[in-house]
Amino acid sequence: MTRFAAFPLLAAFVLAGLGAGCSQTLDPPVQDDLDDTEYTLTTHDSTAVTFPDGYSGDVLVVGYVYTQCPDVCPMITANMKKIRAALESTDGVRFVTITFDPERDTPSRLHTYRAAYGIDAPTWDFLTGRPETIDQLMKRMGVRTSRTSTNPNAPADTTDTYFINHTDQITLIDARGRVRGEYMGSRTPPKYIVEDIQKIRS
Amino acid sequence: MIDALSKRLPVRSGGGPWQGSGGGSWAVSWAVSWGVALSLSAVLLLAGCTGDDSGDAPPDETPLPSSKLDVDQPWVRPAAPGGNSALYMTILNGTSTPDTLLDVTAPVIDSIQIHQTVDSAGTMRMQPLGETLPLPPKTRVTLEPGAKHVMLMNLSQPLTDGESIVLDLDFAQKGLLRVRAPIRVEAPPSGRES
Repeated sequence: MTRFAAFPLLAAFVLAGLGAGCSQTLDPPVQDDLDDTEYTLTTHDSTAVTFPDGYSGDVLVVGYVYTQCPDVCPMITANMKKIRAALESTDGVRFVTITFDPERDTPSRLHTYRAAYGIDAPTWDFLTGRPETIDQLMKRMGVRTSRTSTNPNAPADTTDTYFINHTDQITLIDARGRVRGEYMGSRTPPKYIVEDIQKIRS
Repeated sequence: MIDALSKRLPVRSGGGPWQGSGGGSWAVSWAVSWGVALSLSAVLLLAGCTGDDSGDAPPDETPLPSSKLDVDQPWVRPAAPGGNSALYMTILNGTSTPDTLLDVTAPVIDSIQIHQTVDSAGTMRMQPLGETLPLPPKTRVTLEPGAKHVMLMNLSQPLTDGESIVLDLDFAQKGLLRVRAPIRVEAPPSGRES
């Protein structure tokens, strides 16, 4: 009797173990689940959108830039364009570029910047938002930023025109809002990110 | 840079095509691994030798012009009005005289700064390099993405991918040199981006 009673318990342990094994063997693995978060942002077309829920059901490739950035941010955007071009199909994949300079990067400025970069795909949004929302979002995504003056001789706490030191990152989020990859945005060869997108989609 | 890149790349399981799976292929794997390592070392050594300030051009680079300063493959990034762009190029000083890039002007440019992009523990920042760019004699100075660049600041009009912009480069010795720089999202094919 005792032996038979132990079977369901054993089976439960085995099933639980299998379940845990499944969640741990996702490739690429889950790094963060954004299910508990919702950021209200605005697109380059001045449309409100929630991130990441508004993109639920699609794989998201997310880059972080500010439009005054002359070097690294354009490299990130260029890399995202290469990733998009390298995909056999963009079905089920959305691209999102989020500014970490919401005071200057209005929807109108993002609209012009996006056009200057020749990006017209309806599945690639440029997003801005309220400064406190953007700040919380960047912290959650692991993007560090700090302002520095455009004048090399100005005091560090100047509030004049500024550059932004920032993390160089692209994030891959799956269709369920889980972070599945963080990459050096400007330098990671597109093929690595494309490979991970294909794995997540399959 | 390679360290920084490898830290950010996702960790991958499984082996590449060069890795043997059984004991019989161990020797082959060992030999191939050493071959790869030696090849990588050679590539790294070569990479270390191709920085700027080198007068001898590698086979795929434009040779220094004799007794002349010239600019090779200038290009700029797209930008929104009020924003900033970057100018990249290789400046070839084939003369025996030091020269200096003093300024870059165009009607749409408010001012310039010369910067070096620096990776500080994963945070990217721009380090000012001074108001002018020294160009030693018999030297090529390369401005490229993620490294040295001339920042074109506070643009009055958008710079749009696929178009071009005429720039006046002001050198201390050579004087003015006018160039047409294509506006590109990505580096030209011979550039080093990605």
